[in-house]
Amino acid sequence: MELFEIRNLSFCYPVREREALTDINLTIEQGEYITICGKSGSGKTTLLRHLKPPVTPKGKKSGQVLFEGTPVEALDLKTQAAHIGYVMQNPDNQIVTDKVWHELAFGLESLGYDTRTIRLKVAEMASYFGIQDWFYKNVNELSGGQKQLLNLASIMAMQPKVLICDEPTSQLDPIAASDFLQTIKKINLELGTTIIMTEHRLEGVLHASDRVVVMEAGKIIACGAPRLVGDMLKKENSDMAAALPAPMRIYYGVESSLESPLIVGEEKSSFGSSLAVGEGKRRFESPKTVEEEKSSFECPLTVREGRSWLERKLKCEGKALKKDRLDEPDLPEETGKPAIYAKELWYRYSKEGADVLKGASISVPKGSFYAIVGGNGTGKSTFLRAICGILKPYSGKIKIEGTPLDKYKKGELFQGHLAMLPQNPQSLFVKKTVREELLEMVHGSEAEQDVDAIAEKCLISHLLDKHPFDISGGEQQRTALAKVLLTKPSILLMDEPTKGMDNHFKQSLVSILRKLENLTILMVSHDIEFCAKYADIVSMFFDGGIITTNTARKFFSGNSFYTTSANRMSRHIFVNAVTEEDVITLCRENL
Amino acid sequence: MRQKGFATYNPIVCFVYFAGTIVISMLTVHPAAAFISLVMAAVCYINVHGRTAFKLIGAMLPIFALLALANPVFNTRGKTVLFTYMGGRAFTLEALYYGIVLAAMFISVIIWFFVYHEIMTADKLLYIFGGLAPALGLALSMILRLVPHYGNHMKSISAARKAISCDGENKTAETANIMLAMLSWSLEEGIITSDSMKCRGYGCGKRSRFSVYSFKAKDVLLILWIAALIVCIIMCKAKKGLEAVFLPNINISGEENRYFVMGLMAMILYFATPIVINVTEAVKWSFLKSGI
Repeated sequence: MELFEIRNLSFCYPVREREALTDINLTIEQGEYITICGKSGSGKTTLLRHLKPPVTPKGKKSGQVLFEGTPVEALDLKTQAAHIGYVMQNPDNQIVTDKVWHELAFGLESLGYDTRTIRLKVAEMASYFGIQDWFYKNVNELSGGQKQLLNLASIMAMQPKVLICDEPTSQLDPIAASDFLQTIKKINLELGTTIIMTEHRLEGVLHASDRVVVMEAGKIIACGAPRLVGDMLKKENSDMAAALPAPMRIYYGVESSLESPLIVGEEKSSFGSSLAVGEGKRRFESPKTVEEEKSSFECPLTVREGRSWLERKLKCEGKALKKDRLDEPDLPEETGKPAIYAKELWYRYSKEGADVLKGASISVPKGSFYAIVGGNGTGKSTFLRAICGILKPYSGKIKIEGTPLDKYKKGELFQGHLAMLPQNPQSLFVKKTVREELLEMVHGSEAEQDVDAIAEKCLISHLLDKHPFDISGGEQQRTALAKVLLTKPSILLMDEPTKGMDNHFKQSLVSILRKLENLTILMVSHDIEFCAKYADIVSMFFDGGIITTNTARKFFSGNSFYTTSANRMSRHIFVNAVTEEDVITLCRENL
Repeated sequence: MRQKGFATYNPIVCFVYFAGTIVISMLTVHPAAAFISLVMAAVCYINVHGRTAFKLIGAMLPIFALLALANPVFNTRGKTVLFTYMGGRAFTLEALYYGIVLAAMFISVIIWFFVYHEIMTADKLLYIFGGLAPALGLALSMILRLVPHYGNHMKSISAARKAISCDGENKTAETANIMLAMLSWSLEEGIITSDSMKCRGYGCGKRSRFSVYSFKAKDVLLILWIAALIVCIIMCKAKKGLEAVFLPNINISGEENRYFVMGLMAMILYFATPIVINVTEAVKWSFLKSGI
């Protein structure tokens, strides 16, 4: 049965010329799992918001959205609240009340159920989602992953027919994100709830989806089974190919008849092929079609499929490979004064509390890009804040560029030496426009030029007159970076700089950082793929200290769980392939 | 924090109990009653708060002395003059005695309020009074979430600004900056929260009210017990069993009055109720544990 039918939907925000959505046609069946992907600003969120009347933006709209045959605007408030669930991006500000149990009951209270019914439904949800243990807690004691799970549970308590998720995992660490996506999949499989989801981390959702819809500039450019869409994106050499899971990218990199290596941000061709339009009308049918597609497209979606594909491809049973490793430099010998030196830092938040840092030491060479990875709550961010003196360790030594931290006068340290980009870029914004935001940092006659120069470097020149809260997440991140860089630091500390960013924005972040010469970067991150690709040195942080340090390649090829999917996919064949490019290069040399 | 013992009873029962405790303590001007209330309040506070309770009790001692000694200074009635000062102003034994009793009453009520605060958390009050004004109840619940939420963001703004040396020399201007930033950030947050509320059906009709608390058999028993004791105490008061006159002569009902004995027993039982419940539970537990 058709659950949603979108007919010729076009939409334009007020006082904008360009349409945010252009002629969207899409039918969504009961029980389907649909993933909508596209770059930031491609209209994914706008499309989702048209499916849920209370959050539908105001503007010029034509076309229709039907929910079970009724236009969504005509649905009465209760029906839409109960039947269409909507989970938003930020785990924090969707929560309304102060207690976990109250939050679970909030929707049911709004619908006017009596206490006995609510008690039963809340109990059911708490058991299904494993919330019993924190049922009585205050919401502000929860971790980000728990908060997002609570948001999901409190919507599922109303037993919606369809669950719409707008980048639900973008603010979560990878482990919490994969837990969340597992739960979504479970809901889809066990309860038959229709799932409509936008994601930029396709890794976790693609293999679970029945159909993938790709959007670009407000249009649907591709729609179909995951393998089919991957194939189309590759053929069209689209930007979005960069967002595909690593096994798919490696497959296309190796298979592509075009001998060009996969470069993100390449000149893209416009989509308008008959294939895409035809696929837009594709219907979700029986699993048989998926089977058929498997035979015609052997493209691997997951690491498991990737491993067996690679094995078949290289037929490596018995036969030796021509080359199974890449040359790798050793960890450079330490020469000169390190930019950051910390020895045996001990820190705890309160007198009675447990130690968060337990003898953490680090030495960051000048000019290097140093990344610290590790799980949630191991003290990574605390370590970063201790290094820049925002927190005071009760024992240990810190030297910045050879000078002990306490020798710096007040304010001197953060002028030209050290600067920190906080996890949430919004905590840096205090002014009405981006320009004022940047001008706050510079004084004197050349202030304007400085601001213009940095804005150009950080690709935010076109945003200078906007309010910092009106621009997208990735743009906010770049604005925050520009503001931080105006202190002209020689050392930049970054706390989770890639959180919530799509591949495209990550790429532009890297290109900005590469433009800055003689900058030492110390970054704390959950983003393994990012660290593997760009960091020089990687350290693992665990239990209040650094456990191991190595060059990025040696570090990740030495791990078996905490490593990139390209490495997990190829580690039974290649010794030290860490990024997709590594695997592709090695494959080509052996074929 | 997991609550146990007396705190696990229905909030309405607990609230009635504390209302009764405080009213009884305030209206019974009798040395024995005041003394019992004071001691029981202190024991109860130690029981629910743990070892750090002594800090508060210690801090109460000087206040007790001050209040007790202040009464005879302002009130010179009374037959037995202990000494005179400032040109013949009398300091009488009866007034001192009265002062001590009043101080004991006052301090006991303060400590009872601390016990009350320990057991009646914000969400319990919300449960009791949310029914009277549902919209207010929800607003309170939202505020209880927002206070720590805003606090955290404010801390992150000031830390972030410190790390790029934006905290400046001018403290006032910096505070204004942070407050402005908080304002626009909280408005932004508010929009999303209100979207989330509408998405979950807020405003689509009459809201019902859910709470995790319900009336169980033990709540009914406790409220009957409380009611019986209160009735008993009121009766004894009516029969003048708990009367005391201090000025100018001390005239206090004592054990020769059977309503005094009965009333006092009822008060002891009443004040001891939470302690007995908590201690019995703890003892039961240790027995169960040794049984495992």
